[in-house]
Amino acid sequence: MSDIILEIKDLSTTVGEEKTPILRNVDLSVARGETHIIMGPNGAGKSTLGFTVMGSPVYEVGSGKIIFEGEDITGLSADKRALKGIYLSFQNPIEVPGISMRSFLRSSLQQITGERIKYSDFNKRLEEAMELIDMDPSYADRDVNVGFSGGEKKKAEILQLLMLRPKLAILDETDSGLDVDAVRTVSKGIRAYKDKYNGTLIIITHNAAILESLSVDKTHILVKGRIVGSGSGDLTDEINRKGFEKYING
Amino acid sequence: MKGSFNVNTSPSLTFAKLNMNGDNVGIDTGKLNRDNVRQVITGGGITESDERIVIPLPKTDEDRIFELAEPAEKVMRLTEDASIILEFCGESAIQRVIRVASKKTVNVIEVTKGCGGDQALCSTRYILEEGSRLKLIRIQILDKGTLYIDDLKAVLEKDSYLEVVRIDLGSHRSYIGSHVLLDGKNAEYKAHGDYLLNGDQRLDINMIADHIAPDTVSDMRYDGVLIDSASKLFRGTLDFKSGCKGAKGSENEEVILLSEDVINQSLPIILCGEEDVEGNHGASVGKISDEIIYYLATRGFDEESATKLIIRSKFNTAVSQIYDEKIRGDLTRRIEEVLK
Repeated sequence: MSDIILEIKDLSTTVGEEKTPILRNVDLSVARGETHIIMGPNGAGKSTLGFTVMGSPVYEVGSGKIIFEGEDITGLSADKRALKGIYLSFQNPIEVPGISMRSFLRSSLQQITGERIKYSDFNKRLEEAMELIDMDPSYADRDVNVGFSGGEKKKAEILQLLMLRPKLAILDETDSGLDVDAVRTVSKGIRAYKDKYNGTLIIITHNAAILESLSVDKTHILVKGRIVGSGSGDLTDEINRKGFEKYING
Repeated sequence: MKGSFNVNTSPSLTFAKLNMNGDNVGIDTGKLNRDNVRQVITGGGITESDERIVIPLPKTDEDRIFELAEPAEKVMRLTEDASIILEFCGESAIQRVIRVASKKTVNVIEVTKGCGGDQALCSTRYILEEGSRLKLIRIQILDKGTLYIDDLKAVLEKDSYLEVVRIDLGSHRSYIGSHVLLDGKNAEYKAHGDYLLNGDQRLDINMIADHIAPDTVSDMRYDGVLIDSASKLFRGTLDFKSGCKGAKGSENEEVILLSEDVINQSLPIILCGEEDVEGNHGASVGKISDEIIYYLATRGFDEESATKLIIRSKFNTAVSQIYDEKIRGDLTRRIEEVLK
C-alpha cells in the first residue's frame, strides 16, 4: 500500500479582488519518495499550484482540500506548512539584504527543526552541500541572493533544499534560465535530496534536461487550470517531442 | 540659565506650517557640567594643543548653547586608531576638537552612553588634514529618559576621506546634527546612519554636506525602523557651492514603518550654485514587502520572526564593523531588548 504524502482534492483557486479563476478542480495524489512532473503551456497555472500548496496568501482557495500526511492543511499559513516539511523552490528567488546565507540557513534550520544546531555541525553540513552543487564557498557569507546571478540564485534554492531536507519539495522552474552545465549541477543536487533523504518531489518544468538523472513516477499536464492528462515519465518525452497541442485542443 | 534654542535648523527653509525647519528645545545651560562627562580615550597617538580653531560657518543655536555651557577642550591630534567612550552622568555637555594628522589613516569608535541625567550634549569638530582618512563609528545607547544633542562639524581638506557610521538606539529625544565642509579638492565624505526607535522616542536628524572644492564627493544615507508611536524627522541637504565643479552628492534613506502610529518626516534638499555637478536623492518608506515576508515564511519564519530577522539584518552591517567585542555585545543586547 502506498504511503500518500500529499493529496490535493478538487482544488480551485482564484486571484485578486475580481476572483479570477486559476486552478479548477485539481486532483493530485503523491506518494512518499515519488517524483511528479507538472508540465503545461505558459499561463496554465503551474506556479499557482506550487504557491497554493505552499500557502501563498496571493491565491484564495475557493473549494477543495490540501491534505499533507493525512492532515488538512488548506487553512494553514506558509510558515506552518514549512514547519510540517514542505519546501518551495522559487522561480524568482527573493533577495534578503543584510543577512548572510550562512546565518539565514542556520536560523531557518533551527526554526523548522525547533532545535539548536552546533556551529561546527552546521558548517560541515553547509560545506558538503555547497561542494555537491559546485557552489563557491564565498556565497555562504554573502547576503541571501543579493547580487547573485540567475544561476547562482537557483543553486542557492537547491542549497536550501539540501540543508533543510524537507519531506516534500516543490521546484518551480528551477531549471529556467540555466545553461547546460548549471542544469546538470542543479539536477545533481535534486538527485542527492531524493536519494539521501528519501525526498518527494513535485517538479514544475519545461525542460527535459533536468529530468535526465531522475526517475520520474508520474507526469501531469496542466492546461487552463485543469489537469488534462496524467501518465508515466514517458509522457514527458512525448510532450518534448510533440508539444501541448493535443491537450490544448483536446 | 534656561533658554529656548532653535536646533537642527535647515539651511533652506520650507513652509513654516510643516514645522520641519528646526526644533525649539528648552535647555538649562547653567546646569550643564563638563565634569559630569567621563571621557576615556585609548590609543590614538594623541598630542594636544591650545590652538583655536574656527570653522567658517554662521553661528547656530547649538554653538550658542555650548558657548554658554562649557569651554572647548584642548585640540587633540590623532595619528593612530582610537577608542573613545563618552559617559554622560547628570546634566552634561562637552565640546571637543579633533584633528586627524595629514596622510594618516585613523579609525575612531565613539560610544555615547549614560548613567542618569536629563540632558547629554556633545559638540565635536573634526578637522581632516590633507590626505588623511578617518573612519568614525559612533554608537549612541543613552538612557531612554535623556535628551541628546549631538552637533558634529567637520572640515575635509584636500584628498581627505571621512566615513561616518552611526547607530542610534537610546535617548527619548535626540537631535543629530552634522555639517561637513568638503573644502579641499577630491575630498570625500560617506555617512551611513541606522536607528531603531520604539515607544515615544523621537529622532531629529539634520545632515548637511557643503561641496566647496571641485571634484568632491558625498554620499549620505540614513536607514531605520520605527515601532509603536516613535517619530523621526530627516533633513538632508546637499549644498553645491559655486566653484565645486565636478562634485557629486547623493542622499538616501530607507525607513521601515511597523505601526500605524509612527510619524516619519523627510526633508531632502539639493542646493545648486554650480552647474557642473551631480546631485541625487532617493527614499524608500513603508512596510517590509509582502514578497520578502512570504519568502521567509516558506523557510519557516512566522511574520513576527521574519520581521525581527529583517530588523536584525539591517543592523548587521553596521554592528559587524565594530571591532570591540564588548561594545558589539552591548549593542546587540540593546537591539534584542527593543525586539523583545
